[in-house]
Amino acid sequence: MKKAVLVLLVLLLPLASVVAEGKQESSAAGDTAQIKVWVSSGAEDDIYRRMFDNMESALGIVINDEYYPKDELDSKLKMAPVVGDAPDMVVVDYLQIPSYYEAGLIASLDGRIPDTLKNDLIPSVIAESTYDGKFITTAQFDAGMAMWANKSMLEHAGIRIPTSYKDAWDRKEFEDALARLKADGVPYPIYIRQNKPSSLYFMYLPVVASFGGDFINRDTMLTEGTLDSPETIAAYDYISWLIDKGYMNGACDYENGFYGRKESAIALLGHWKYKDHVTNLGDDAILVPIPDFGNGVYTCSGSTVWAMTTSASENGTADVVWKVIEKSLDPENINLVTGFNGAIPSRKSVMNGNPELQKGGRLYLYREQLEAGISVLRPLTPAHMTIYSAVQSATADIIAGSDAATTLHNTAVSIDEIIKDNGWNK
Amino acid sequence: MPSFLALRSIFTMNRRSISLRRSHHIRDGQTATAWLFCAPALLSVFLFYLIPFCLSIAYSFTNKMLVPRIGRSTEFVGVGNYLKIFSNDIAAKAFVNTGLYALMVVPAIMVIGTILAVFVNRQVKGVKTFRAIYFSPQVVTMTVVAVVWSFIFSPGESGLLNSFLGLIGIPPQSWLQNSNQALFCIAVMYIWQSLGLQMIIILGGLQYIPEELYEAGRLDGCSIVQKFLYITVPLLKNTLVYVLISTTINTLKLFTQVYVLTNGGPNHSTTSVVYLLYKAGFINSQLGYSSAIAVVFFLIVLIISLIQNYAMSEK
Amino acid sequence: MISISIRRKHISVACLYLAYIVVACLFVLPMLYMFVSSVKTDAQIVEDMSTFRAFIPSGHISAENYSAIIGKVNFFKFFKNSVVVAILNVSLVTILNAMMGYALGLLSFKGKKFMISFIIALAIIPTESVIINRFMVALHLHMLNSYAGLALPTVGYPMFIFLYYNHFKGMPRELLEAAIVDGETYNGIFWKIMLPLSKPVISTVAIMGFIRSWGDLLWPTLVTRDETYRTLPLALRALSTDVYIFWGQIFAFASLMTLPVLIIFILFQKQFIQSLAMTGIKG
Repeated sequence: MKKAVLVLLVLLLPLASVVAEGKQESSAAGDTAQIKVWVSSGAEDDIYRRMFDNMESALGIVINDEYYPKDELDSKLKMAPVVGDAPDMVVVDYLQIPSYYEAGLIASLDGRIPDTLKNDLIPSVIAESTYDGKFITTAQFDAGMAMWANKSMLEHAGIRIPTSYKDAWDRKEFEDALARLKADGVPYPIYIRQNKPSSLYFMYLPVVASFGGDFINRDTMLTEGTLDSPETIAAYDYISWLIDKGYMNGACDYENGFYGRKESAIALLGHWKYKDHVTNLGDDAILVPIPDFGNGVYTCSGSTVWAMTTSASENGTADVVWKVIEKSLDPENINLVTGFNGAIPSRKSVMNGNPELQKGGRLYLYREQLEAGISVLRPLTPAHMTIYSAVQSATADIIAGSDAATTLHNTAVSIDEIIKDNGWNK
Repeated sequence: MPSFLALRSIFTMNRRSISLRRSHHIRDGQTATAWLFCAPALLSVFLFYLIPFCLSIAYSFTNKMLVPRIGRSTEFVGVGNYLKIFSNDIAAKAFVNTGLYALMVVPAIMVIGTILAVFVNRQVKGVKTFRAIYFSPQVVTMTVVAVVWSFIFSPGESGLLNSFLGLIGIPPQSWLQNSNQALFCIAVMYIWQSLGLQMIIILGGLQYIPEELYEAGRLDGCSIVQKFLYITVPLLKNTLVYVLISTTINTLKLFTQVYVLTNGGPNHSTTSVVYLLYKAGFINSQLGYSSAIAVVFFLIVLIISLIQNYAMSEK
Repeated sequence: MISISIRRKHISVACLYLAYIVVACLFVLPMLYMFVSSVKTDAQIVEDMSTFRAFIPSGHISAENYSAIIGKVNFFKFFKNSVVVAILNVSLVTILNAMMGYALGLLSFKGKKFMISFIIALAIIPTESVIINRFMVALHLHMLNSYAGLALPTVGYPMFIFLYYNHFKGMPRELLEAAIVDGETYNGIFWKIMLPLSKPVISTVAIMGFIRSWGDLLWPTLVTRDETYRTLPLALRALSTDVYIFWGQIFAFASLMTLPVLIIFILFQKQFIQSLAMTGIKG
């Protein structure tokens, strides 16, 4: 056995190094401008690949696009300054950007983006792209967020269906609707993806805003006083209330309450469920705005953004990277991506291309909300992971029955301790 | 370490230990060979265990961040991180949870493992296949084990375990969403996966207990339980000590189930020490604090292992 | 006419087998659930979850999940990488740790006692606490993004050294001494006598080492710096994003990851089960 092992060793080590070297050489060849892009892997991967191929021909450059799941990409980027192999461009969720910016990885786009283009972008995209007073990213699309509803179920229960965010239900009408649906035989009238509490960090924020609360004080960048404010607590108490009244299934661990089991008439979910909902419910899948719980009607926005890294300037590829970013905002590329993932184009001029986004179209509500600027953003801060992780745990606990006031207060205290410790609230 | 010497003397109890007077020449040969043989593994361990841990010890006295911010240098904070551990509620809970988890798992594995080993210690046809089946959970990584068991522990009436319990009239439990049950659930996962391994190890020890002793016991009129307690267990001591120490250390390092399934909840009831230090370092970027937790953990487990050694060898 | 005692014996044997089978179900069902779910659609998995049908292929069975992941995830590349790393790692792990275990268990030299305690102490260190620092060491040794970087750092493994130490310590000294008298060197004794006699422990360490290398997630995440060397567990993470959870594909992937290990285990189980049994008495 020893001999077999030794033989194996002798064979494998040189083999391994040959393979390794071979790969390195192939990527070092060529005179054409080359850039390295790290993309946060998702459903759109193949679309991006196609898009980058098109850009390569159009711009006459080589794009080395690599795709990594979110956690892995985050680890690799965090270590990039130390290793020295940071990419020239990244395509990641906007929430990750502040952390990388603080580490000196992200370059500003101020001065590069023409005003005409900037003015064509919807306000929510500009908001998510601005940090430290600078414009540092762009996006091809933004998220659509409201409530999906089952038209037949609503009509059967005699509930008024709002046609715009301006005539959204107020709290009383909403609770009345829930009661009617329940009486009408709908087992759990509302589904908020309570089986995955982490997603509520996005989806529940507009409800929190509508109650008058927030996750963090946007001036001091601390959570105490805001995350555990009476308004925010009220918003989370509401979850317990919904479960207690039987309007929501507290023991839910499935995804398809709305479109599969059809046991819910209203679902607090975003645009990405478009395919599932339309396939299963057809014309019954409609959008209604999130109710006004006293402080107005809101939606949540936030999307994948494109950013240039500081490595690009070091590598001399900054101009090329900008060309690629600019090209990503071409109507054809925006449509390529949004046609696939159903998101809302980031440019007002491009939105007219999609019939469902026109007035009267199924998804018009998304457009109306984003154009009206009533979206809230999850906080842009290097403390994102800390806040996200803590709020996720708190939400899970509240869904499982914990008291919102104590949970949120303890969460806020522990978050702030970490923020201050790391100096993230500069 | 005197305890290990004592342990060793028990192991060699059944063998005649001949101590030869070694000539100076032969001892040199031993030393040279010994160091040569230790060198590769020692180098690897030195580079990838010792140095990283020493770095951890060093960082534990600073406020180093995982992702350093431009304009903020790392500073020495003395024992600040250590004080934080002792004043932080969640940290305290993490140590308690880990201890509770170990108290659930280690006795369960040792008792059930021994019973299982006795159970399969027969020469019937096909018993080897059953042994292999009982061992098979080991070939699945804990990540997958956790995911599969999370389905079994689905809350609500339609969960797998809940529906079977429903057949005997027990109402559905929320399992992983219940702060009183979640730790128990992840303990079950680990026990399920480890039983086979420990069973086989104990089985090895069993097969060296002479049949004559059991015969004598039978003739004396001992019951099964008495035979088990007075013949089996004492002669298994060596094996059991090894199982105890290795299981304890591995158990105290609880991480994967928490990382994959519960993120420390519900209500911090499944936060383990290793998960705590992972969260501190990787999510909250507090590498200094994370390192301090690691050092405290190391010291505690070291003491526990020493106590276990000492206690077992005293008996 | 069967005598009563023989019949009683038959019944007790039957009961024994029944007991064996019941216990076997407890150990086998979760894995069975995984394999069976991997050929169902996500909807079917959820539907069957609450009944015994969870363990039976029911409804629309297909290899859809498998073709989806193999296509989506460039499966064979990850598989190849995992295999190369595992072979590299395991071959070194089995031998190098054995060498140290032999030295600690059978040879005498100054500093031995300290070394033994040192190794056991190192076994306590949790990986997650040192992994970033380990990364820095690998960085400075220029080992990043290579098979060497993936396979070598975990070659010296304190738990295995401890295992080997216990094993060799229990080997009869007479063998050693007889060989010395015959003029054999301590080096020679290891390769010619001790190692061949230790096949059981070696196969134990081989399988445990393989399982460890195969399922490792944290280290490959850090060490790989591009798509060339990524291993299987990294690809599995791609299947549960924030937005979608593809359960069927996750189970299919988990099944594909488990299968090679399961196959190796079944092929070598006779030797392996027996071998583990031997490690117990020495340790």
